[in-house]
Amino acid sequence: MPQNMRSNAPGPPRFAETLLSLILPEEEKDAVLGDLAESNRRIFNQFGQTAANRAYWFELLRSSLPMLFLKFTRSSRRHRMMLSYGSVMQNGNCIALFGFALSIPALTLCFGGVLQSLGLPQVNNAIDFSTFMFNPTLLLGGLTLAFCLNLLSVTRISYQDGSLVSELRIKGRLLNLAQISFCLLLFSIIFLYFLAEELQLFAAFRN
Amino acid sequence: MTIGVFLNLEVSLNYLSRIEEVILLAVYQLHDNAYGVTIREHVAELMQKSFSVGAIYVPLDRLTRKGFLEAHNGNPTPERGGRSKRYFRITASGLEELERIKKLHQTMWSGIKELTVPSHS
Repeated sequence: MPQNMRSNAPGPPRFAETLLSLILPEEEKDAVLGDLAESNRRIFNQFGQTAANRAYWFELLRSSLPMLFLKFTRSSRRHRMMLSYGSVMQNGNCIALFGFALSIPALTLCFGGVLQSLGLPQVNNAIDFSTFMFNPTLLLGGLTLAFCLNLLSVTRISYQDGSLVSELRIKGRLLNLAQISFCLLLFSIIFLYFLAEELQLFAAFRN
Repeated sequence: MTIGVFLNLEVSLNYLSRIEEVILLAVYQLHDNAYGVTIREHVAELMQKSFSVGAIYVPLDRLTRKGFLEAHNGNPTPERGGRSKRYFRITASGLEELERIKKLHQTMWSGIKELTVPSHS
């Protein structure tokens, strides 16, 4: 191999290098491209340009998936670590409103079930569906979800200095706090209802 | 418990995978000259098999996250198109892990002098 060819190595194929730079994670980009350029130069010195280019393309093909995986998992990890639920949906109120909306049908079912248990005839006819819909598991599940969603809208999760930090953003979130209180009230109602049912307190009203 | 804590929970493995083990050993053996190209060549020599760049850097990233390796960038060189090398160095935790693996292998292989086909009676 002539000396001048070694000193005038053309370098890796530009298009392949550009493709790789799109695939590679930011932290590894410089190092990996440099490693491949170094390997490319060595192969060029030994076997010529065609072999060097072919090896580079081959390396691109077999490294794409692992590097894409690394890029994806790293970005997901960083995203989770820096996650602020207020910014997930652009506005924490979106989460809070969704939780509030979820709590309304839950509340309706709750009162419907309570009234039906009291044996009021008008209520029985009007809300017959609640016999089917008033499923304690479904109701509690819905309320739990509503509560969590409202709690998430006022909580910021972030990863600082190697530790997970969560803080309650109370300032400016009075509406969300009201919604959390509302959900807690519903939980209490449900609990008291089941307690009363257990103690057969409603039997007195029915009679 | 907030969902953030739940989502951030990572399962920690007790043992390294085979490729992680080999890469950790390669970094140890290469001393101050452990970077992508040399690690890849050394691993290929140890395992008698060629590995892609991705197959080396993914375990390197895992080992770095686990604290067994630390990385630092070198100076850019013309033969690398003006790009710097990423050197890896084994940490004290990495050394402890290698020691643990070595003991494990010694324990597993103790008493086995020669591999023979077991006879079934």
